[in-house]
Amino acid sequence: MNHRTSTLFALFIAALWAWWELDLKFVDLFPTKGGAQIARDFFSAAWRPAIDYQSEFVPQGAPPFLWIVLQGMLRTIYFATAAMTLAVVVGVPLSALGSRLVPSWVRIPVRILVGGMRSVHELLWAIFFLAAIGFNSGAAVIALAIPYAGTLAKIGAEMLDETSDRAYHAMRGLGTGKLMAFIAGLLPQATPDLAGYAFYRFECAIRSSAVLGFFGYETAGYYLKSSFENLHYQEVWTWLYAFVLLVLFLEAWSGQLRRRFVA
Amino acid sequence: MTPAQRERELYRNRSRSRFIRASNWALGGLLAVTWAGETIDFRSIFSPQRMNNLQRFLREDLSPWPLRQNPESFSWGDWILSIWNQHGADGLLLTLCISLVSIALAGVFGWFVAPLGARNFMHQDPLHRTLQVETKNESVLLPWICQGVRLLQIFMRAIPEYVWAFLFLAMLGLGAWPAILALAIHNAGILGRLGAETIENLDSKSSRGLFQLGASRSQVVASSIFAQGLPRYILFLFYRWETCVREATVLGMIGILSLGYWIDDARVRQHYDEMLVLVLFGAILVLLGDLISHQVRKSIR
Amino acid sequence: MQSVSLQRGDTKVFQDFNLQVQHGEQVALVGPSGAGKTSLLRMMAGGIPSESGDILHGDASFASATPKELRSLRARVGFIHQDHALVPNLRVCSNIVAGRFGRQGLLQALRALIAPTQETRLEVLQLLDQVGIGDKMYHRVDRLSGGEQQRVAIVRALFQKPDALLADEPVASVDPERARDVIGLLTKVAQEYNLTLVVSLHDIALAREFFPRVVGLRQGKIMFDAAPLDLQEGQLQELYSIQNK
Repeated sequence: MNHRTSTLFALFIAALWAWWELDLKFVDLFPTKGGAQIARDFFSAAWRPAIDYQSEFVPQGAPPFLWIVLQGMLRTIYFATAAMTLAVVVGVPLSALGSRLVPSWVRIPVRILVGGMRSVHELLWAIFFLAAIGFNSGAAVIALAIPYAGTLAKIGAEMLDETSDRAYHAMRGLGTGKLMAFIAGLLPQATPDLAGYAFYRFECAIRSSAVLGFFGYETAGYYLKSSFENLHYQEVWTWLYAFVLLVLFLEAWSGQLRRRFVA
Repeated sequence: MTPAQRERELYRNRSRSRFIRASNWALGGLLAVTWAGETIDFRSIFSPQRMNNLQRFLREDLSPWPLRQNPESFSWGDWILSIWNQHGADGLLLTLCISLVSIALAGVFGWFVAPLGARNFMHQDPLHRTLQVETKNESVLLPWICQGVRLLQIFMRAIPEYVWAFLFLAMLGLGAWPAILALAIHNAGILGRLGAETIENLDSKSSRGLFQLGASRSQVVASSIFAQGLPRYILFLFYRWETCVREATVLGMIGILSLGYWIDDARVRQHYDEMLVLVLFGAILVLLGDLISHQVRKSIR
Repeated sequence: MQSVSLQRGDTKVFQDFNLQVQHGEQVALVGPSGAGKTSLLRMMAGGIPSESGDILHGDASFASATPKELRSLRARVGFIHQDHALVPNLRVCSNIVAGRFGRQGLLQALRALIAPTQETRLEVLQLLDQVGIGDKMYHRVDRLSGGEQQRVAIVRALFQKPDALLADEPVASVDPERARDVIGLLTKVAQEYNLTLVVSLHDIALAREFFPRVVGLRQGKIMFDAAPLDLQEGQLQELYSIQNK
């Protein structure tokens, strides 16, 4: 048994142990009476996503349902964009400070900081801020940005380490300062990879900001939750499909970008 | 033509991609709308009232409750140990177990679905052998099946784990299954896609040879593709496991008894000191997971 | 630059090594690989410090220079790397303005990179025209051929306005026909701008054709130092044959 197989084997032994520890039974996958009804109603609504409010009591002058969906999706994107902006502004310098270009007395503390930022989930940061300063969209964005900046810094440092540093050292040899040699010699070469990764993380940030809605912020999750709790399953499916469309769109876009960067 | 004119003309005629320029403009527009708009409110973070809250939170709420009550007989070790015994250890164990079962399920499903999503394989003329085009009727359907599988994978991963868990919780009731299903579905979508890309990028020589010997697609997959693609797939598997640990923690917040449940419970009871310690427990678990996964990936590579 | 003297005791590469190059002189370094040509050039450019002894550029000394002086000294020496060391996904113009970063402050350098002044742009164009690739000013470097990239590297060094130009195996990656062009070009521009030129070469024939002074180097020692006409076949054979021993 080679190394890989044994690793895989170990993972599955661990999973079996976890299965036993959690006392899982396949039977529980089949919902009980009440749950079964919900499941039936929910999945049968998949084929007919709502294009208008499902509720009969729509207040006069309420905007059309699809308009609400659009607004909710846009707000989700705004949260994600704001968080990614902060994450890039903080994460890219941190990735440079965590790369092999800097002496180890800078690099190691930076890597520890980055590890700390990453190790706490964005939703935990969010409820921390909720407890500390109360309900505020800016604080929610910062909560998203912290682990995202950390992840970007970690992956970014790895990418910078893998980038050819010939031009960087050549510029240093001409007497160029470290910062300028980094900006002109190393960063441009790492940019396609960094941008591609940031784009992927943007997609993740959109998911995370949607989930923020479960904590009261008016992103997609907020509406999805209330629709579900009001048993308006067709509305729920509209939100789910809107999400899939957005991800499909982003995917097509990033595919095009990658093709042009590489070519 | 003066040199200056020539230079401008060279500049104007420089090769550039319209798509990248359009993307830059779109990005700029998005940034402008986001930061100039009113959806995100940064200014009021620094309002005096919020600053007061923050101060109180940091000074009082975060310091251990027994320390506030009875400073003389307080011991940090006992306090942390009591939180560990009360909910910490159980929560961590459940979190870890959920992540392990989920990644195993996601890994298995992702892997066996992966060949169905590989475009060069699910083709009437697999790997473009151009030896003979298969004329069997069912092979006409293959590209369609492939597109369908890819769409399904996108659907699985487009929906956040948290939303999946929320939906399943209502149907399945309390227990670990909603969290496991949520993580497994989301990650199977991602792993299936990564696996398909791995297969597409494989060196096709040996598979080509098998096809020429008259092997069927399923035979080639079983004998050649799986063996070749597995090493890379294991890397992805462990990388996703890291994320699973992270997500399993917070999925507790919707009512599954992982660590997140107790974190949210402490928040609702406004025992922020306890919440901080539990979050730190979670962070240690995540860091340990990262470390294990890092070591494993290094040893495999 | 009046003279360069160089000494590096206690190392295997060079021991008590001395070499003087007059200002405006053109020198070819030849010798088998591993002779220390690259190390010598990099020491002359201040890229690696000598362990003992000193490298002098005119009156300025590398050994006693403060970090700041070292930077400005390095800015006075142009270096052309074997693999060009260009940034492949930037345009030619941006790569060339980098030549002067050693003399510029951060803001000035950033400006030159992002939005160079007309004066700078015309200077770049004129230099590019001189090596025959003016039309490629706004092409991305990775879209250029090897020979064209070589020219970009030369222009970057010229744009730097150095006193001396050092080139490490500038023709290692181009075919023989191109190699002649490149070396011819190098010696021509060095003469035009009155630059000291030191080039390391594999190809002795090229060295003899273009350079008034050829220095043979083997295992960190000078085997000969003469004008091409004075070079004897025996010396050349000795330079390479000992390697086979």
